[in-house]
Amino acid sequence: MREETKEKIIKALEIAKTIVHWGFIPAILYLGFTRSHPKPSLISMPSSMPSGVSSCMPPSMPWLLSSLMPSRY
Amino acid sequence: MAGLGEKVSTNTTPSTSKSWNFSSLFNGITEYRKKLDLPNPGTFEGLHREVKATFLTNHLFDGGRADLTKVLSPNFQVTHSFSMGSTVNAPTYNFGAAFIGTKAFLHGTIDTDGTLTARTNYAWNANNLTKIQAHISSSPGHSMLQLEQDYQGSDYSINYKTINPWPVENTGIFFLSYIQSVTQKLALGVETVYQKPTSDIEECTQSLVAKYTGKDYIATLQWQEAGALQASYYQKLNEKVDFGTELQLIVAAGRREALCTVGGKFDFRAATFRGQVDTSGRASVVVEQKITPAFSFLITGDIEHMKSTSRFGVGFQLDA
Repeated sequence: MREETKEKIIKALEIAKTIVHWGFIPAILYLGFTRSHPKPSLISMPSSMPSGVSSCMPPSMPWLLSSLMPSRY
Repeated sequence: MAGLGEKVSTNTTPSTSKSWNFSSLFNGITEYRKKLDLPNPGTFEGLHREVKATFLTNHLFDGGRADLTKVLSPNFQVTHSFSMGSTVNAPTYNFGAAFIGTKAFLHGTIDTDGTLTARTNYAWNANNLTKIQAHISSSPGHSMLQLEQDYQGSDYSINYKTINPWPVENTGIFFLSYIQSVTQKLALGVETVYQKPTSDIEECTQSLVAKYTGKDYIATLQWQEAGALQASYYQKLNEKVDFGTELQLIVAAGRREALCTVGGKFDFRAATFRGQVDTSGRASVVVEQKITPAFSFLITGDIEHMKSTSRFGVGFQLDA
């Protein structure tokens, strides 16, 4: 194989690697937000509760949290 | 296949028993195999899966750790994991995303150092599965690419795997494995590993395996040409209790080593307990306590008596 072709292949692979490196996670997020059933909405992510933590809490969690930190509620 | 078989038999009817040719023999074997109705032996890689599941290898950590999983939809989730205070690893934050489609599975994690771990599986049909794994790091020489093709037949599995293939210089590591069910319970397999790290070094090794699956136990034996023998035994005592034991013997080039490990997994109503002891004097325990269905608390401990070292970890997992 000629040296020039070799260098071209190496360069192309370097570019592909960089694309995968920084594009893979955004690609999954894009697929997840567009192709999922039911579609997750970005608006529902922040919670209506005062503390931001409770958005990722299960329904049974608030009582536990409030028993630990009564002043926050 | 049946159509082909008929054609062959009509062709060979004039001259009877003498002229059985290769394709009719092949068809005969295929039909005989169908009649035996042997189960699929599972993949070569998954040979020790049940035993490994009772061990702690993937569950042990030290320092503090927090995993938050956000299920955005049934087939899409993101995870945030934090770890700190470890004696081995630097404190890190890790973001992960997973998407499960009808045919494809994508999973990626990226940490604060910019290291990406990507896994992609694509199922072409019920038998064929392509797996791509990549580990891309900003520091040169730490990146890894693994390509894998899995074929699962009715009573056999073939797997081809290659790590860091580089066609320009013909280097890389290549694995080819074949495992076949011989009886309802016994499966035999062979694996060839061809390594070519640089263009002038090459090495080829074989290994043989046998797997015996009983009603509630699995026994495997693996022999590697280089001089290593690995035997494992898995026993399901009841719905909640699993035990696994593994013996590794290495007799190669002046080394004579053996390691025996016993691990157990107990599932309680709101907790999972895993314990493991080995002959090097190492004892480890992982306890996972479910406080609510979505919130669990983890404690791990690992003591190496021979080296007098110990590591402990505390963590929690939160699902939403």
